[in-house]
Amino acid sequence: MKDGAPQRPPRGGDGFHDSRARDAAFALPLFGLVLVAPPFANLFVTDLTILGAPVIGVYLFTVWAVLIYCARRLSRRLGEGGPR
Amino acid sequence: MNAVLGVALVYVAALFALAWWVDRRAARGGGGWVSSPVIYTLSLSVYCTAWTFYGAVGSAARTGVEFMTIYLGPTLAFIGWWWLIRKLVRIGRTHRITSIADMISSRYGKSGGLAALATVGAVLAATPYIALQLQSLTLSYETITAGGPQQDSVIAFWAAAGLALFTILFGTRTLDENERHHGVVAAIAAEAVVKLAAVIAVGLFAVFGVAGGVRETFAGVTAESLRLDETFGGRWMTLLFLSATAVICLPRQFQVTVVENSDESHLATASWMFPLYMLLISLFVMPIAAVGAATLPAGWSPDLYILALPLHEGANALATFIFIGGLSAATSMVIVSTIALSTMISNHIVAPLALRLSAGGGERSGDVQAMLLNARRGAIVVILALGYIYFRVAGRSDALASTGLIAFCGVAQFLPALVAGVFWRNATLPGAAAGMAAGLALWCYTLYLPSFGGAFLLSADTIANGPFGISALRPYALFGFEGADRLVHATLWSLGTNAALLVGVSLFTRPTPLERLQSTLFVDVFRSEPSLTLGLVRRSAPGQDLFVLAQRVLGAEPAATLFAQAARLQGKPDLLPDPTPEFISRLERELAGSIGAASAHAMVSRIAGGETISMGELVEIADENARLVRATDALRAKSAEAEESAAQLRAANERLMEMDAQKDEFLSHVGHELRTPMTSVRSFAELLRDDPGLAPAERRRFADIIQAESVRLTRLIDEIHDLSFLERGAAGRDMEPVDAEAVLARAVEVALSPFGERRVRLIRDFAAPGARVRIDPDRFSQVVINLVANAILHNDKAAVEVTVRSRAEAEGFVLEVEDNGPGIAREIRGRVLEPFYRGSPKGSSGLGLAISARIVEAVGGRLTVGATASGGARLSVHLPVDA
Repeated sequence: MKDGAPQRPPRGGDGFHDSRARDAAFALPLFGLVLVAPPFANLFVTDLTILGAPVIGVYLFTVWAVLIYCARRLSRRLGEGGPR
Repeated sequence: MNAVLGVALVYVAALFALAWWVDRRAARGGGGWVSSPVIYTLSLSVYCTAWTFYGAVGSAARTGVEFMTIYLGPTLAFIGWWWLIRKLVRIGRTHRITSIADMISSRYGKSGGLAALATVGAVLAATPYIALQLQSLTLSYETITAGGPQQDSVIAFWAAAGLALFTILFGTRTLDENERHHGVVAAIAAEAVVKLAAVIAVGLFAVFGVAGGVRETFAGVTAESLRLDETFGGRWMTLLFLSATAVICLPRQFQVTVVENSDESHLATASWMFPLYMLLISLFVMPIAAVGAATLPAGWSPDLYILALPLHEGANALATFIFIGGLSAATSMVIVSTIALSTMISNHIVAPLALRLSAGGGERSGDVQAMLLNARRGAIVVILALGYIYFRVAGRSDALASTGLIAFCGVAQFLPALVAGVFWRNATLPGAAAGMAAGLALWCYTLYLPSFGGAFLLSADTIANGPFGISALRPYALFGFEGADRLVHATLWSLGTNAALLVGVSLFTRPTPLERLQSTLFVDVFRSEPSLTLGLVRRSAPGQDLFVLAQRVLGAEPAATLFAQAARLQGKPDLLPDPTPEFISRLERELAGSIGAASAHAMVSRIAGGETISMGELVEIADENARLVRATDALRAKSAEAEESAAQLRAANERLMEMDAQKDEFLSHVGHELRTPMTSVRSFAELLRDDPGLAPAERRRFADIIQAESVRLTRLIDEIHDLSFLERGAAGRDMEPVDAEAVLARAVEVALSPFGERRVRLIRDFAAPGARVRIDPDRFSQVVINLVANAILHNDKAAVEVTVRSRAEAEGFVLEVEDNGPGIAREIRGRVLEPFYRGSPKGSSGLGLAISARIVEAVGGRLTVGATASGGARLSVHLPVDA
């Protein structure tokens, strides 16, 4: 499902999807931390470049952008449902 | 030079105008776009100060990708908003929290001492940080105007004075509305856009204007030049942690995130939009650093690359834009910091002192309010003066460069008390106080004081060799902890001790009843019903005294409004509500929104005396919360089911309402129908009685009319009776089988008699001779008569044509009555058989078809409505045959 597409789940959603979204919201920062921390980040320490840019920079910014995208998806699920 | 100054002044004037305009709109109730999630997100970017604006490029030039931790940490904190920030915002709104010190003190029994301690820590951490902003303003101005260090004091002074003026004008207007400053927030948001645009502009300029492409930009960059092999280690993790903490614990961040939040749903948007802002502002940092290092002459400080690059390339307009961007970053940080700190100083230091000193002094409406506002104005001037003095004393030493991280480590000392406060019920005031005091002390000793390089309190000798030569106490290698990065060293010692003391002392102390209450309210903020707990604190006070107190703090008018509202809620006619425990607690919460929880509690307690909190009820509420959670989970499982039932109920209800409306309509129609014959009966009877001289023929005619009308009445009442009889399902069942077509032929004749053959052409098509059906022949006749009469009555053609057809099918006897009339529209076909439905105003009571349908159904048949090929109506009766 594309973000911003009309088939986005209804506001609030059913309980099942809500609780899954909450679980994802708890997991996302931990997931992000693992990706930007050693030893994982050390895998991208190299002199190689992607389109002229250092791999480590491309990697960190890509992780960053993916985290933002996931957070956006989750915030739409959770933002209007009302916290509990 | 004057051109730059002019642009800067015009820019600042525009910010003043924006803040003034927004404040005025907000005062008139037109908050509108200022309270939008985008503005909220932009105001959060006060996190990106001049230190990040200029310093990030410097950091990237010196230590590679390390600068990214400063943004990645807050990114993790915000995409993890569901963990902590969401809860802080909810608590802040529920308890009308005014600052981070207020939140911590409120949680730990509204302790004034803890609030004061946190305030002192926050001011200590912020002063060099503010000085750093003044330094970057000064440096950037001198750089762009090619001036020299001799201008330092003048520029920094006027910058500080201007910032103080702005902050006093827009930050200390009022005390109410939960400390929200719409004008300031709008100005900060505008500055956020400017600084982002500036960084992106110079980034594009560096990559495509100076270097000529991405590949060229990073030509000299290698893993070695980025120092990648030593990047991902303890310092990286520490920086991630400290910056994630800072984005929550820095007083200015707490101010914009929690205190200025006007709508919790804005946080959901900010959870991804603020990380996106930080990604965009750091996207070009590495390119600018790389291009700067490759093109600029050796003399330039990497901290000024972002400004020097356009200057060196002769792009003066761009350089001016960058200067304005840096100005935005510096001023927004200073403004919000001073607002947050001055609120803390006035609420947690000045107010308690003034309360103690003024005991028994003159009390008048609004005096506390005026005192607090003046205290805030004074505090703003003092904070900026401290920053200015610090800048003058420390000058251009390199000490300032690391100030940002030192401040991060300082405010991180709030984190243990904050996190334990909202997640751990048994964290106590002694634990929090001990942890925070020790943490702040260790932070001062291992990081803050040594950063002055021997100029303040700790001498250079002490820093190098320890006090009195005791090497175990060396600030940078405490108890022999050597070899670590200074920041890592200080963070581990201060935060480790802080957290250990908080947990350890809490386990060995008991919370006071007020702490127990507050911990329940904070930890269970998403579960408890705040109004339930208001009555838990038992105390009483004369209503008049409370009113005086409210007037002193809130001002006369808001206090009167508050009291009148409360009186209305209690159902009292006058303006003074009963001083119930609930009301006193509510009032205290209102006051806390202006002067902080600790001061509000102290002031109310002075009038109401010591409170008693029923521990039994408190425990009950805690239990109630646990029970509620279980119940909610069970409810959620059932909710889908309930929703379905609700939909069915709704549909049934709608149908009932419709039927009810039909019934009303029918009754009014019946009334009308009965009234018409009754009226004529009555009036002719009166004529007969009152006029004895009537001719016999006349008398006879009148009597005939009366008789005919009575017959009509009887028939109508019979019909209604038939219907109710059939409605109850009481139609006879044990019928002898009859020859269907014999009954049919007779009934058709009867049906036609009122109309006469000349108007109606009847086509008989009987094809089921001998079919026997088990039905009362009179009832069956009634059905046939009704159907035929219906076909004729509702026909609009000049030559009415009715076809009556019968045939035997496998499932039984079928009778069809067709006409050449207008037919029955598809959408009302389902309803014409309902008892009270009348398709057109013509004809009888509208009961004919309904009665027929009931008769047929009573013997197991059915009556259906359809259409003929030419569009007329076709009514079909299916009856089971008697084998």
